[in-house]
Amino acid sequence: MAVGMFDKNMQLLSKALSLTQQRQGLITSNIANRETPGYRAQDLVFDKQLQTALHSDRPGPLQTTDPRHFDGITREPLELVQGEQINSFNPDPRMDGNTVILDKEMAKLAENQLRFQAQVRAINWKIRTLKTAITEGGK
Amino acid sequence: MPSMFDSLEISSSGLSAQRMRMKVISSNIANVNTTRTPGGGPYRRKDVIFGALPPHKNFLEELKNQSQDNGVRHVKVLGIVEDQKAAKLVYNPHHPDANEEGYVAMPNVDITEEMTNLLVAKRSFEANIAAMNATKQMLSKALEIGR
Repeated sequence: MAVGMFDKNMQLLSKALSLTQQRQGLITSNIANRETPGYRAQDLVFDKQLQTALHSDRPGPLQTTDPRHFDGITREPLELVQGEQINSFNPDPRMDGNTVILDKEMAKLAENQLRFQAQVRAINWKIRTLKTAITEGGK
Repeated sequence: MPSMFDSLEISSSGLSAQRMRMKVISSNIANVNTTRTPGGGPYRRKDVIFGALPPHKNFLEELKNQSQDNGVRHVKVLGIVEDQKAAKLVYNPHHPDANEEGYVAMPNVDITEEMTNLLVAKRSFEANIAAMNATKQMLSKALEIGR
C-alpha cells in the first residue's frame, strides 16, 4: 500500500517513532516512581504488532476467490497499532509492592534512546533519497 | 498519548520529590540532638510519602472530557509523616531537659539510617537526571528530521 511518495516504510517509521516516544513516557515514570509504595513498573511492547501490521498486505496461506473471504491471517492496519501496555516482570518485588528494577529501567532508557536515534536516522535517509530523486533528475 | 514533553515533566516531578526528601533527611540530621520542639518533647524523625499520580490532563482532553489512562505517572510527595518510634533515653542528669531520674529524651533519629537514605535519594535524583537527559537528547534528535 504505497501512499504517494511516502511508502509503507515511512509510515512504519513514523508509527515506531511515536510508539518509542510513548514508551519513553512509561520508562521515565518508572524511574520517577522507583520509591513510590505499591507502584507497578510498566512497559510498552509493540515489536510484534508492527511486524504483523507490516506483513498484513501479504496474501495469507488460504486461497480466496472473493475479497471478503478469510485467507488465514489476522490483519491489523499500521495506523491502528497501539502497542500493548504490560506490567514489567519482577520476581522479587520490594516489601511495599513496588516492582521497579532501576538497573533494568536505565538499560531500557538507553535502549529506547538508541532505537529513537536509529528511527530518526532511517527517516532522514528516506527523506534524503527522496530529495536526491527530486533535485538530481533535472541536471 | 503522552508527548515527549510529558516525559520531561515526569522526570522533573521525580527531581522535586527527591529534593523534598533530601530536605526532610537534612532536617533529621540537623536535629539529631534537638530536645525542644514547638509541640513539646524531643524532635521526631520525619519521613516523606511518595504517591504516583496521573499527569495533568491537557486542555483539549479536558474539553472532550476524556481521561484516557496511558499508564504514565508523576511522582508527588503526598505528605510528611513523623516516625512514631520511641525517643532514645540518654542518662545525663545535668541536662536542663532531664527527667527526675536523670534521663533525657533524645530524638529518635539514627544517623546511619539517615545517611543511607540520603545516598538512596541522591541516586534516585541522578537516575531522574539521566532519564531527563535521554529524553532531551531524543527531542533534539527529533528536530533533526528532514534536515
